[in-house]
Amino acid sequence: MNSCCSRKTLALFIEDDLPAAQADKVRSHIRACSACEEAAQQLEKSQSFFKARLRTPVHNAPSRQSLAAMRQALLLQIQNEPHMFGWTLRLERALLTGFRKHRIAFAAVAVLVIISASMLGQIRRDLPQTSVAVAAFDGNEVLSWPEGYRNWVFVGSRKGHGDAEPGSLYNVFVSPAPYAEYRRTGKFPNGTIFVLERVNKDSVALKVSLKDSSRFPGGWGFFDYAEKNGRLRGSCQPCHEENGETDHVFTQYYSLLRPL
Amino acid sequence: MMVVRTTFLTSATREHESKPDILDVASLVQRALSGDSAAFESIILRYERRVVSLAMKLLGKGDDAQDAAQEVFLRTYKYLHRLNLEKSIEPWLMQMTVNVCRNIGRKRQRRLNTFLESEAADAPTASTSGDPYMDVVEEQERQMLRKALNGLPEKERIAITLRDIEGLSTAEVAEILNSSESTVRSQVSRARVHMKEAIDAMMEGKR
Repeated sequence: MNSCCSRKTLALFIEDDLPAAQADKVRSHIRACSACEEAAQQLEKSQSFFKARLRTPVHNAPSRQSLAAMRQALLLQIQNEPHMFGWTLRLERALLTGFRKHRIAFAAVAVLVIISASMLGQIRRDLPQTSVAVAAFDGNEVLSWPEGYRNWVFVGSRKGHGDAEPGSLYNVFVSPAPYAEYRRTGKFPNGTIFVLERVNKDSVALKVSLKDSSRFPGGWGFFDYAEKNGRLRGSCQPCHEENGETDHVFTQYYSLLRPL
Repeated sequence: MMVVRTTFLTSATREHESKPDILDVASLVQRALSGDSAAFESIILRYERRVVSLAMKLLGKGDDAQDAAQEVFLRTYKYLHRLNLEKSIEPWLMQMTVNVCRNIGRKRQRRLNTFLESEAADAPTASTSGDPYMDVVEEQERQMLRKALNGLPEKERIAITLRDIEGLSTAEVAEILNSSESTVRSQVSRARVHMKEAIDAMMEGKR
């Protein structure tokens, strides 16, 4: 006799595994359908046989002695903890265990870290940009205006220069990171930028020297700013090469550039 | 990171593991985390039979079950700090036992495929009838049922073992298997139908 309920549905029904509404439907159907009732009874029978046989305690389950041996082996293995755990797991354990033990302290530290980080962010935002020292080229021979150069290292002022105009003052600035390296090594690294600022009562004009051995013969390029962009000028090179005490630079005139 | 979810007490142990027990285990866990190996040994002592028993039902072999239990407690020690101390440890252990047994079962399957090793179930059970003849008959039936059970697809076999042999609820099985209740129901229903067919064939053979 074939039942009209699927056997899978009946297999769930007999063990109360169907959702209540579906179970009610199957129950009322079974009352009216002898084929399904018989199929359900057969499944019930096989289920109770299956459970009776396999739920029985296993006779040769490990003895007390073998369990004790397993425990001892395990505890010995655990004594080698440093070899067993990777550093990530050890860190994770220390953090989680520490957090459980000292929740308040951890919470306080977390709050402090957040506050400090936000304050540091604020301070950094408020600091002047002191390290704008990257040469930006427009084409091959045009150098962009060295933004923020007045926040660089101020090397010194002079009244005269090779092409000095009467009444002008010359301020010299150097990019900070290369200057720090120069102080450490005594050599100007590639990327060093010097700004010579000519100030008179009406105007400000710039000359810039940039060290880039791969770009300029002799290592230095000299730029003259008539406008916003500096044009490469070859005329500065011979004088700097001949008179600059250290690598084209007039270190002899500025105490900040002299060896300590 | 492995997430430990332990949101229920198993129905089989619900009456044994009450709130004070959970607190007791939590204190053992905390001591074990502080390096107290005696406390960890107490945890093992408390759950080793349950773990070995489930492993035996899933693997059918005593030696493998003991290896599985050792691996389960090693993992327990390794990841003890991830346990939510407000919940019972038992579902977590059951979940690990199932995973470890799966791995061992797969390795064993590869070994069988390679060496054609015989997979004799080696777990005779205690006498239940007191009649030696009946004991032998029951043992034969048990062996055949185990064989049929081992022939089921892995997921069905684990689901029916947890639901019908271990007596866990569908929700608990779903939690242990990281699965949905409807998936578990579907696996269990298929497994029950397969087991019925195996039992029918067994009875047919006896006639």
